[in-house]
Amino acid sequence: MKHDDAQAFLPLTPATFHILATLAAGPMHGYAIKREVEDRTNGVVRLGAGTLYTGIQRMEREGLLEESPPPQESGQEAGSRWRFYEITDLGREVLDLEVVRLENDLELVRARIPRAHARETP
Amino acid sequence: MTAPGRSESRGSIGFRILLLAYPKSLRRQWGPDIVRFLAKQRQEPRYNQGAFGAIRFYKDVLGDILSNAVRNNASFLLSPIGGSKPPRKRNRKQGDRPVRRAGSIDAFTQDIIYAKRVLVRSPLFTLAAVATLAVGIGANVAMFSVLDAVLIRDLPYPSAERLVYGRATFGDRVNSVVSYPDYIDFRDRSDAFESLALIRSGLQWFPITGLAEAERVSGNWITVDFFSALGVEPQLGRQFTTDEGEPGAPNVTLVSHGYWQRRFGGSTDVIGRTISVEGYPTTIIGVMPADYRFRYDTDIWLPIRDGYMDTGGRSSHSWQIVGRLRPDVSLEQAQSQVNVIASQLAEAYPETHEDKGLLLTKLSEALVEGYRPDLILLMAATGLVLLIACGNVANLLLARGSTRQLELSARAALGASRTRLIRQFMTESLILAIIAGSLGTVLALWIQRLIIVFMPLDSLGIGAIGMPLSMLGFALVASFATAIVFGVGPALTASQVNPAATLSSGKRTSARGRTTRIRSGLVVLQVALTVVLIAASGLLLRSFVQLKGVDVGFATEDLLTAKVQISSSDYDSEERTRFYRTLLQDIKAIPGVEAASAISHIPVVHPYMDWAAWDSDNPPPDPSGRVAVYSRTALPGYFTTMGIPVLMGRDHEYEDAANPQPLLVINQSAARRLFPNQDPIGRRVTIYNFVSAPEGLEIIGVVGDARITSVDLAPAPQMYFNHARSAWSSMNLVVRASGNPTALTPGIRAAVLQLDSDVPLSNVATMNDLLSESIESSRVMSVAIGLFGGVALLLAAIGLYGVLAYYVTRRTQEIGVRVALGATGADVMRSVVGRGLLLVTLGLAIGIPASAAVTRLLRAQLYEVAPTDAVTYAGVIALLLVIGAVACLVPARRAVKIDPVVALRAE
Repeated sequence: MKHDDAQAFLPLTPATFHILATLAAGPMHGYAIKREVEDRTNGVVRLGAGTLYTGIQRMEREGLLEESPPPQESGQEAGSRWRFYEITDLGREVLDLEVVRLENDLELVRARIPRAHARETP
Repeated sequence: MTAPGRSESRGSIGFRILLLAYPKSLRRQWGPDIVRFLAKQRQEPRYNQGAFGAIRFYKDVLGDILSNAVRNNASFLLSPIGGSKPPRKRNRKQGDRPVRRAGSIDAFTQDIIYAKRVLVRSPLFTLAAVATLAVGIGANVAMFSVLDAVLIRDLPYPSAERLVYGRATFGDRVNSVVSYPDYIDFRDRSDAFESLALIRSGLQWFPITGLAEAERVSGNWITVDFFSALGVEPQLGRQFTTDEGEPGAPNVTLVSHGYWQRRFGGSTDVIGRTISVEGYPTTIIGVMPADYRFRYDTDIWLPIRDGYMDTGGRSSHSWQIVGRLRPDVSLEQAQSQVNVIASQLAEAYPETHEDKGLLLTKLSEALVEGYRPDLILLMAATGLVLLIACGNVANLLLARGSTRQLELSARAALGASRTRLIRQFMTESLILAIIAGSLGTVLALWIQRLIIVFMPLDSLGIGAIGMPLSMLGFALVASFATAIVFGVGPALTASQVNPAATLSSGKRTSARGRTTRIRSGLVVLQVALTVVLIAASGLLLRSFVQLKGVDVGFATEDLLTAKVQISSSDYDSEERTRFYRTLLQDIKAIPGVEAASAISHIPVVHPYMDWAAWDSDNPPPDPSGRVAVYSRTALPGYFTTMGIPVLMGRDHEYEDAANPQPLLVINQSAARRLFPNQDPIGRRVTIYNFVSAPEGLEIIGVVGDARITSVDLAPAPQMYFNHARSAWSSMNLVVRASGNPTALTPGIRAAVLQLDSDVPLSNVATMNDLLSESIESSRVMSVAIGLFGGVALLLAAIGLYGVLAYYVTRRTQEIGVRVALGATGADVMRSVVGRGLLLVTLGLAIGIPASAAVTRLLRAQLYEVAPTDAVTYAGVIALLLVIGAVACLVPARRAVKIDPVVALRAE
């Protein structure tokens, strides 16, 4: 039942995917998410404030993530009160399903096209 | 502690304003977070360096806002009328929208409908305004797209902001290349870099055999980690491994996408195939992606390996460093670490490294350094042209505004507020600007192609830019800004109506004097801006003419050059000289050939490098007394062929190979520097690190100075080695023809093939073409800025004409009275032309000092022309006065033809 709900979100847009994947590690505020995504993807995915917060807004509405109190160890700079977000159970489920879907796709491609293997041999 | 806090709060005012551009729902929920987000983002390395960092920041942020706006409203924009409507519309239907809001929407629609009617009613005006603005906006959008692609956009590599470019410095002088041993030291002693890679400066040419036909391909030597430093993966196959950089590893190569397509038809089984590179069997291990390009059009890449090739000593600078900083290391930190290593090297090698350092620059900046001034200049010029165009449209609007007094008065009398009238005018301006902007954007695609063709941007790999989102965004911003610039003045002026006066007289009387003053002021400003452009183009043109006329020190007419490369493994030194000697004899036998010889480096095209040299009998006490002398290797007969005079002594001869003493020919500048006021013939010169002649080389001849480094640089000291003693395998033929030099090409090619069918002949060009090419950018700039100057002049002349025509129409009665009272045609003409020239003179009075200030920025682009060159300025003044007088003529003639009877009866 719930499984079907989660399935309906797929496939995820790159922004949604990266935001969820980043939050899977723990609660984070907007800018931290942006930095994390950028570092992970080597600067290939860059989230602007508009894209990020529109995404958060939508995902919050859809129940993929929710606001959380700032984590104790976050070392928030004095005076700044970032709003933190954490992934919900539904969000985690959607992320897992997406990863499985991507893996399946990848396997399919790898099996068909020998070129993708050529790069792996040292 | 306090300082950063203050700066953040100061910055956040700007970010708070920026916040207004985000949708309301985001602002309400995350306002403070977005402001903090932007402040943090602005601090990131790619955004906080220099003016372009700021531009890149605002570009990215606006791009984010715009693309979100488009995405969020896409369903609304794309949905057909009557289809699914966004909630906003439903709300309105339900009637829960405030009445005021509905009223203002109606007024807006009304404004648009009314504006459309007004614009359609005067099609000539609309056409003139739209065409003028479309060209102006189009040129700006095109220029911006190129500027964006070259200067603002990131390089196409992941985390490109961490890429740096390393160049050797000698004191203040920056040398674009470094030596291999220095590179090894920097690489091994520094921990600031994730990887520090090396690429050979310039293209090498490699003979490829073992395929259907022998050919020469362009190649680059790189360190095995070069591609991983850039972050580029082969499209097919794999990268070099670390082992493949070790001595004794099997020969491997990566090939370009182009070469793969051209030679192997894009077949995937190319991986593992063996080709022969310079006679060495070499395995192809990968194909690079089609869009990959770094500085050169390279066909193959070969790994640098110690012992496999001559990497050169500490004073042989022929390598370029490309590094990737570790994520936590800033450019400044890396630079200071490198400085420490440089001072260690200076201690270890005082002879060569006394003032030698390594300068790190962001790769993105280093690659475009040469283009930046030209592009900024062009952008500024197009901006000026758009401003002048705005002036014209504002002028048209002002003129029309005064003819619409009756209409406006009527509307005001019926209750339209001044704000309402201003809004009406601004709506018209906006519609004009948006139509012009749309046309201009289409136009921009053509102009862009033109710019790419004429600006030599090849080495940046910019072939096509297309229409990225940033370009559309810029077009939109430019259109709105344009509408404000040309629309606000006329709107304010025209909306000042006095209904009572206008309606009672039934004529258009009020606001005329003021309109005339504003229009005259506009023309004065247009003339001033035009003067700046014309002065700049005049200076560039004069500079180009000077460059064209430079005496390079050799006869450039009827001279053909071509490159010949023989295999260095097939020919030993003696055989190489014999090959070229025979080849030259064969070429001289071709009918139409007057003289022929060969040189290792063609003047201007290949500056090559300089060596430190000194008088062997008087070694300088310290290295600063050494003379930097550019070296070349020539075959006998080079000076006669080139038309370089042998001033003292003699040229090299083939027989000198047998002479136990190595011999040298130097040029006049070298003679003056090395042997001031002495006879250099028979003296000896020692060259630093020149192992084959530690005792020095004997001077046998002194030749005239020739420009070899660049057309605009005075001849440097030069020395010419004899090919018979330092036999280069690759040489450039120079052939003097009695007629058309290019007609000799087939004969020369046949002569080469007859001697060795594996030897390719390439880079065939006349010396004149090579020299023109070398000053191409100077030509392009003077033509481009000249073109803009011409357009500006035309626009200003039209503006002047418009104002004067209006002036004459308005003064018809006054002129009629004056003619009736006995004024002659000449008097009338003088008064009109005098008025026009007064405006031009005022424009000159503002424009000349302004140009003097602005053209100072051109100094680096000018050759032997001062930014305040009197001849140029005199020309500018004369040109503007003449054009101004021409623009006055038509209105003046109309004034002369005024019939006093008709004029007075009209009253």
